[in-house]
Amino acid sequence: MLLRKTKTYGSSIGHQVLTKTINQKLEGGLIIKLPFYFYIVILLFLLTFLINFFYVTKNYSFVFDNILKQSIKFTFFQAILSTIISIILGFILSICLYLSNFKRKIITTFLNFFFIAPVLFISYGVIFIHGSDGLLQNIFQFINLNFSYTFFGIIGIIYVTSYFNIALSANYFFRKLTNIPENYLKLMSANKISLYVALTRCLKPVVLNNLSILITMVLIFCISNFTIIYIFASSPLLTTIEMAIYQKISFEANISEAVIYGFLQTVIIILILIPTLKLRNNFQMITLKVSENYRIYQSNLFSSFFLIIFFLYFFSPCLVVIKGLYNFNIDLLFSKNTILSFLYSLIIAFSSLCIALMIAISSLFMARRLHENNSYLSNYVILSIFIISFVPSISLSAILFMINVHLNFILPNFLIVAFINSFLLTPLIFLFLFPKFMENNKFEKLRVLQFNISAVNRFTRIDFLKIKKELIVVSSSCFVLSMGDLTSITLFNSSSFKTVPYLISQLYSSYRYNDAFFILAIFVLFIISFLYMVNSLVYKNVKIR
Amino acid sequence: MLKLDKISYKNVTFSAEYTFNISESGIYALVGESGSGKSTLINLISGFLNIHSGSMSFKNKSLLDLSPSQRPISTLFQNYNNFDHLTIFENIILGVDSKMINNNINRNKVKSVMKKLSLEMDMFKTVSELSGGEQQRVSLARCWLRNRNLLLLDEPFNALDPGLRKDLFIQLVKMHEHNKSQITIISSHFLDELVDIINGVIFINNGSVYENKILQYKEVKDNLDFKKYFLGSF
Repeated sequence: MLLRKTKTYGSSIGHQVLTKTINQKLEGGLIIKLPFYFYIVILLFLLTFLINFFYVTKNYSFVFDNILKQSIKFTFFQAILSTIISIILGFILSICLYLSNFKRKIITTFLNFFFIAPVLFISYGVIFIHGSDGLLQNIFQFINLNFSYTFFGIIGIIYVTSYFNIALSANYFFRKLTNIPENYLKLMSANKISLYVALTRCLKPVVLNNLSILITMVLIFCISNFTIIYIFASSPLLTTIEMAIYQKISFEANISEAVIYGFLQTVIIILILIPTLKLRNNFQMITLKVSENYRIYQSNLFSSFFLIIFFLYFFSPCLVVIKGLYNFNIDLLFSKNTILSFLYSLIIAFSSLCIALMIAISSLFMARRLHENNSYLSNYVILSIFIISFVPSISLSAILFMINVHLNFILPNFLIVAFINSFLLTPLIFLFLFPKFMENNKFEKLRVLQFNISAVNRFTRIDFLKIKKELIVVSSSCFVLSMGDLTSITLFNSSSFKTVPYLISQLYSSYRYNDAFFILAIFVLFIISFLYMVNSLVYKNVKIR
Repeated sequence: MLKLDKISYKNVTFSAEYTFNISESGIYALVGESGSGKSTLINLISGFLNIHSGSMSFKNKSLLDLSPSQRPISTLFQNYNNFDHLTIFENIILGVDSKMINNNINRNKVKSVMKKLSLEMDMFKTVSELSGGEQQRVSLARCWLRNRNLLLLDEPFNALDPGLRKDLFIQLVKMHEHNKSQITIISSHFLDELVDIINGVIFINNGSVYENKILQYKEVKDNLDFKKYFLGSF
């Protein structure tokens, strides 16, 4: 009895302390907030530049010309089509994977890799198989089958764009399926509920929760698929806004129009994004008690058949790596050009990752601090990160190109590319770390106030340890994404400054296919080894189910 | 009736072996420390976990070859017993019709069982609109409609307040009176609350049934080992 009384007394004191202290505000941590302030200053600078630019520009008649109308029409046509295909196929793939006997870790690694795989690798891999002189055409010729087809144009664009987005959608749905509460599975198993009824009725909210965010993300990725359009667009009619921006800068040297096109694309993307942001009250994800090894549905003939088709689709471009290694060229590998390209790729990937990490973590800290202090500004911090995340790289490139022209090219190109890439990476890091960073924040705030833990100590001793694993995973993925990016480098390259993707693209454009495939193979192997090393480091002591 | 003979289960962190025999229908309490293996036992009988070795039968018929849906068992957990976005009707009819078809026959079945459990409300309300006690009553209604001879309850009312718990125990007795040949095993930490309704106690200690038999409440209360469990190391 005495023990019971003490317990009750203790808990009531705890409650009183909680209610008393919860209204107190947390303070300090300026040094952690600095990168976010810096980021806001840069945003304001870009905005000021744009306002000034619009004020000076007098003639906007070109905005209504047919090129732009056609670009917008095609951008949306291919993006909507690709989004629909990707999400439907992603859903089917996730079910096939869920029913399969593959280990969960293998499935997520496979899906993660194909989401972050360099666009150039997949594009050239697809051309290697389906191109006019590709593997399939050679096989057809060998067996005297007179069947020719071209993979360039809308089919190629949709095929390659869907590649990344199917992986993203499948990953999203697969996580949902493996996060079904264990008791739901038991309930379904005991009542013999078919997979169809389970998905359409019982688990509908589990599967459809946050679907609007997935649709928006996929749609925006499809709108911003510059590299794919750059490689696969076969006619001037198949031009997206991003390509129009590139053409304005590269071929017409008309930076003003490019900046306005970039601004237009940004506005379109923000308009797509706002309803999704409004639909969500917060970004916190619900964590349920789940079982990783409890299975009630088994694979069947259909799921196995689809799985084989999907594997062929995903792994066929990898043949380009074998082809590349077959054309081993040691002179090319150790040439100054290749070594410099690798070096610049590493420098850019590292710098952009550092910038993105600083901004993302600082923004996370700011968002949580404001949330804990019950400030409505918390949502604006999140909004500022998300809006800037969807400013397409090419639009940002156009604006920075213009600024650099005004500054007499004072900014080095590699810094601009790193900066542009960091904008792409910041929201990914933010989104990935957000749930973990916000975990138990209400109770943590209480402890921070009770034990007078400084902001820096909380960050280094509590937050950092909490997010360490996720931080390594997301950093490695972002590093690879930045290394494989071809968007901004197409505008900011020079004879002495190029990255590996640009080098591959140059070799390919000058009809040195074997050399291009060789460098591509080395690049892909480097990326796979890097990811494998990081993965082993993170899961070193974890038993895999 | 329900016979478990050296039913063993092993995983990385836990191993258990259960032997006991329940020869008469009735309500039985399943008690033991947290982590002693109560839920594992319920999951093994239900077929949610695969056994390592041993035999298990109900009315002399082996349960081992049957899938969870084929076993004569209804199970209830502490949470996630209902699909919150589905209606009361759908959650109850699920027990006998996995397609949850809304027709006259099914509606009458649900209506009748709701009346028996004093669930006087619109059957097309979603479960998320109900209180915790009402939600558990919906789950009980599903078990009632399912009318299986073995009812396994894994700490089903622990999250509810004592008044509600008592009320649900009364419903449980009602259910048992409706199907006299039913065996109900209810896992709980509150043995005193069950004293008036139970026919025996299964005490689980470190992954096995204490003395491999069903005990009487008095035996449990007088035994020093159990006092340690109920009152702590004093």
